[in-house]
Amino acid sequence: MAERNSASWNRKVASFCSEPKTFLCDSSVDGFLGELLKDLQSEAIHGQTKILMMDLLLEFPEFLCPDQKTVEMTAETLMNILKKMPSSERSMTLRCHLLLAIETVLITCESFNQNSKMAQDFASLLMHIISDVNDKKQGVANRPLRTTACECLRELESCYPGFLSQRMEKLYLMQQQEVTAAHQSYTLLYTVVLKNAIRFLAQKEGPSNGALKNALLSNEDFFWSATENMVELQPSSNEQLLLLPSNSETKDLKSILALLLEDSYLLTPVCQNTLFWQIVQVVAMARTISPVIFKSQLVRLFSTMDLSCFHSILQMKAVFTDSLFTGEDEHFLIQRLVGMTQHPLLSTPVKLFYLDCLLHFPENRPLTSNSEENLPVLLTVQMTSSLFPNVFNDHSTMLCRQNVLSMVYLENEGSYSEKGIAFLFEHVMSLYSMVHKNGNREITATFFRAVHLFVQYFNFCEKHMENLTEKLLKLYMSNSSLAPNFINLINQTQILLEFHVWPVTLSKALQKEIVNLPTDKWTMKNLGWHLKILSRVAQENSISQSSTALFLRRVVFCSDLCSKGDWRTGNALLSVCKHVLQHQKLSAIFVHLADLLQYLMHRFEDIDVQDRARLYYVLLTNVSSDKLGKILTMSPARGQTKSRSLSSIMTENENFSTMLTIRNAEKTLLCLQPVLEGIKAFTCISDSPSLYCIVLQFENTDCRFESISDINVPCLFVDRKPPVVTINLVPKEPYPTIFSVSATYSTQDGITYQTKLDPLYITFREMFIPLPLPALWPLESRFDLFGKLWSAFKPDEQNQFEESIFCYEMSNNSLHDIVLDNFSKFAVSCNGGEYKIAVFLPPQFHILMHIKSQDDTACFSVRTDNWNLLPYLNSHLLDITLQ
Amino acid sequence: MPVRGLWVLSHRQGHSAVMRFSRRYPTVEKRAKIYNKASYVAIPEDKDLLKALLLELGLTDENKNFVEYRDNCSRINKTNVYSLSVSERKLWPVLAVQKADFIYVCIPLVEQSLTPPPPLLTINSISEAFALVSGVMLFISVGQNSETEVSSRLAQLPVLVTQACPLGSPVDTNLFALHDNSATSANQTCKTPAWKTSKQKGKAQIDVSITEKVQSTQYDKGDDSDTWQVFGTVSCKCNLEAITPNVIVGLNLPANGSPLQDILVHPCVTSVDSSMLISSSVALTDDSAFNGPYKFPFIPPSDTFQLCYYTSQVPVPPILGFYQMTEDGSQVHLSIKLKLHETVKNGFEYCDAKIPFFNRGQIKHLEYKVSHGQLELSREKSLLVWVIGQKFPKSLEISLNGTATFSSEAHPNDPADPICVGATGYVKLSFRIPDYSLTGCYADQQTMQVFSSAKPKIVTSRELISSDYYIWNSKAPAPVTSRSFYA
Repeated sequence: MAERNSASWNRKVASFCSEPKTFLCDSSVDGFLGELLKDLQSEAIHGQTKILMMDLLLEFPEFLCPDQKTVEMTAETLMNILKKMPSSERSMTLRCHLLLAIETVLITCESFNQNSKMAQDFASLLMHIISDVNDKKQGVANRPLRTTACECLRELESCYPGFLSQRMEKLYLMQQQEVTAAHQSYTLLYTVVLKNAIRFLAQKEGPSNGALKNALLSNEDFFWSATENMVELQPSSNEQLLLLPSNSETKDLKSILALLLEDSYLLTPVCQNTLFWQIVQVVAMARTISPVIFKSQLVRLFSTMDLSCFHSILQMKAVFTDSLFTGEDEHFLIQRLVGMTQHPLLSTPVKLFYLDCLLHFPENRPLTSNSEENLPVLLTVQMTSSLFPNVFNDHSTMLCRQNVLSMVYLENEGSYSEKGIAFLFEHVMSLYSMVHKNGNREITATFFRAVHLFVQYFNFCEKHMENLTEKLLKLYMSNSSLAPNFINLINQTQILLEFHVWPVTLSKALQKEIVNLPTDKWTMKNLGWHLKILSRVAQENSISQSSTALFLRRVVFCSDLCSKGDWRTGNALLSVCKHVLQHQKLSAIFVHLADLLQYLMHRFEDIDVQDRARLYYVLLTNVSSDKLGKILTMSPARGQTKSRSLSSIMTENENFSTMLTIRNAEKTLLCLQPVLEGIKAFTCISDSPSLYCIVLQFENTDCRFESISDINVPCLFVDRKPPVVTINLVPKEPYPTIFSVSATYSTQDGITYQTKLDPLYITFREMFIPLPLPALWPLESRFDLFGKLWSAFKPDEQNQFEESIFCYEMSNNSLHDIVLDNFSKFAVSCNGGEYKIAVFLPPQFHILMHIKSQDDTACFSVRTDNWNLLPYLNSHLLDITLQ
Repeated sequence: MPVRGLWVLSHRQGHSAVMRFSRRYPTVEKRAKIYNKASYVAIPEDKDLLKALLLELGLTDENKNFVEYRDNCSRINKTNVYSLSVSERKLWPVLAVQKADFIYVCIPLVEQSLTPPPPLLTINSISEAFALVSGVMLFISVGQNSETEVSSRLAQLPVLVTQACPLGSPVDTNLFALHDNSATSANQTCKTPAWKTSKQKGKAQIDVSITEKVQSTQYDKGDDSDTWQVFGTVSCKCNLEAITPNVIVGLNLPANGSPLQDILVHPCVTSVDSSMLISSSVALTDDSAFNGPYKFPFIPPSDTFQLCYYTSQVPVPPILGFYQMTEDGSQVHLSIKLKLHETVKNGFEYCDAKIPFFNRGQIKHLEYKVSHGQLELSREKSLLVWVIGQKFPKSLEISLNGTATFSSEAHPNDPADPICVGATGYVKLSFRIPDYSLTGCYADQQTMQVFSSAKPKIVTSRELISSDYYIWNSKAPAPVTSRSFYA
């Protein structure tokens, strides 16, 4: 039973730890916690397993105790288990784990405060446990529990600085009395409390006025206020807190610190580091204490092989600089540090760490204050001569040493440095010969990194750079599969050097080598790599692309590429073409490129490649180079590529299709506003700050008008005068109609939208035109014409003419107004309440009206040559008379 | 200061990586959140941490030649502290050390904002992270490394790590020497060390052994490009009474001995004479400044430990050699001469010269003449071993001349090497001279002091072992290992 339960818990714990969230999704938190706590008390579970189970509470308390109630309950259960346990040596590990679990649960779930009885009990319990100094009462067996309790209190004090600040006398006493190995934990606990207390006082600024003395002698309760706001943890560095203790306080504090330091050698190295760091902070705050109190420790720390101890001395150096380290000390420390970076008996990670420390060495008189890599001024060429990288170093060491030495040679001028640079170049070359002879992936990557470093520091050394380019070319020609490394090198050095010509020089040289290759088997085998390089080279506007275009043409014309029709090769070719298309000096290579594309679109045995070649051909021959650039330049490098067809990944990109698709605008930004009565002229109004290339499209809803051609508006800015557009309407029949209107436009970000505008209504009345007569015609002739038309429009059975009468009750004056308002332009005669109106309706129709007023009734006699017009006229007359 | 978590994962080429141990410290994590403020990045679940780590260490896509993220030439890992991509943010600083089939990982707490990242030197807990990682690494990798043994050690880790580092702040990182309950009784007046001290079993005894290793690269170019360096480790094991086990071990040099440089001492050494530290390989110091005796007072830990490390520059290499090898079609002609320096003890436990041939295939036929010792052809037929034996002849000079003919067919297991191409090649010497040190350094019984009632037996030993002792073919280019500005 015990076996089975234990095994089942082992499994559960393992799966919980690997994926706590998933685990708890599958089972209820409360249930699982309940089971866990129950089984922790069960006799049927092995002690070993219980320890394992407790790890869940140690590592994932926030998952298991989501609320205060659960926390209290859990802590209480654990406390009860602890209290019930026999104080035997066998149960020691479990008891220590219980303390740790309670502590972790209370702190992590924010339940460690005065309101929690569990927290109070727990803190008291810890103090009770540690008060048994030197194993007086509980014996040696109980010692692990004491040290664990000390560690718990230290963690409490670290999380809630000041929590133990009112019990310093007791803590100091215990620290002094304890002589067993547990004294380390008492010492660290006291030191952390002391540091926090002094920081607390220092935050108040100014002289201490006895506050320090009171703090050191305090013997009260826990300072529960410290637990109220954990957010007040202060960063341990970068602050200048000051405390000015009185003379007697200084004396007390100094003697305490001296005693702590005196016994520091009895601590494990990691704990020495913690102890020193706490005391360093105390001394940095209490300005009346000189850092010289560390002097007695320095020789021991200088000589140590342990990283924690040596780190302590470096930290002291960083905090106290020349108030602890004389110029001579500093020189000695740098010398030691350089010695450590190359000591054959230290491990590589440690040596690399020391190299990093050397480049961030806290100097007494730093020249810069940035946190970048800087060389200490005292570091000389001679001191670093043993740091020379060689091919037997591991890769990181090799590169880091090259980096340091490059800085050294750059900083120090003179013959040694020149020699040094030459040595470094030789080193890069020895890597080169390894890669040249088919080195593995790691050595290849390291070589390119070494080259990058060399270029970074010594790009001004023309001789070496030329040599380097030459070697790189040789390498590429012998191993073209390194193309991705080369492209990466070009890209990275370009980022690094910005305006330096070297990356372009290298690109150009590579292009030259490739385009001069014969079209033999070897070239064709590596064609894929060559195309990659050429594609990258084509992105340099300062490099002419004619040789590339000619090379591609030669390759395509003189090989069986087209008949083989390999999709991948085709696309690789086209990807070079695409970059060449974007080149600024396209005109010089226009013909070759067009030739090539045409050949591909006709001969390449792959339909996809053909299509793409055709697209590029069409773009090349039809689109201006500016636009071509716009369509093609946006490289897929930006942003995440979305799921697309395989071929579009090869040659296209998202932006390419963006350029060519028209999206529907989500809201209408544009509208047309009439500006002139009678003439169809409009102005475009927009809500958007700027629109470009607006194309207005009109669509007939019936066949009464000739279709209206599109109207282009170059641009539209919201803060400028809106442009006026005139719409030319040509009716086929003189009836009212509606045009639907839409607009296509581009926004500033280059995306094209389409939107519907309000429809354009053409009313019946808007088609009225005066008779098309010469302007100089005298009135009588017009009158005669009216009379002749009137008689000519007399309806009979053969013609389409019609006559109609419309009567409406109105006064003489009203009629006059109506005629004046609506027909003044068409009036032929106006004679004592009698009007003759002639209206022309394009393309070829007429309406004649003879209006008379009799007995307050207006009578419109109408004749027309198109009877279909009468209903429209009727409603028009109704409209105007009703007004 | 504390760490946020500690992990061990196994990673073997060709196998998928597995998290073998994981320990998080939620109370420290809580502080990290407050200290790091906006720059705080939570530690992901184990499986995501593992993924991010492998990516950052460049251990993914191992069959691909170039992956930009991994092989970018501007990306140089300057230390073992990495920045992991975790849900589009950067988790930093992550200390990760690869050793054998394991990766050991630790994340120290940084008690300030992480933007801009502060220099590692200013992060107090970085050294704790290093210490924990090296402690766990030592524990896992020591001794026998069979899978069952490693598994059983991994199974002990949870309890041991909780002891060594209960709430994130490590108290001791020597996982072998934890659990020290009864070593000291409380009846004493002065404080005992916090580490586990020696516990006497049987007769009191102190073992001090000096192991010197000599490295050399020789080119026979007639200039001063040849290099050699000696470095020594003094190991110590004390079997003494627990109470007041203060010991002083002294190292002496004979009159013509080479001063010890770059001395590094174990943290149990209680004090150091500063004059011992002056001689350094970094600075040109006056060698007459200090040449012993070197005294190391210390409180002995329970197990064998390295009392100190040192390096030294001896005036000549113990064995001077030259190697000439020329190619002639499928044949190579060899000529090797070795000379033992007259001041070096002519008494070896073993002395071999290995002559490997790379990128050439197998030796089909061999003709040779040796003035001393025997020449053997290895089973793989691409390596000659010249067994020199226990002694050089009276003349102290030996030579080998021969011609090896290689078969033209290639075998899949033929050794290949990117450096030893063409006639570039080397002879590698391996030897051990017992009871001898090149510097002359010896542990002096007279200067040893033990503050103990019973006088312990003192056993001293020393040895010189070759390490990377290469003689390059002077007839072909050879890689340079060091540079001299004064040539």
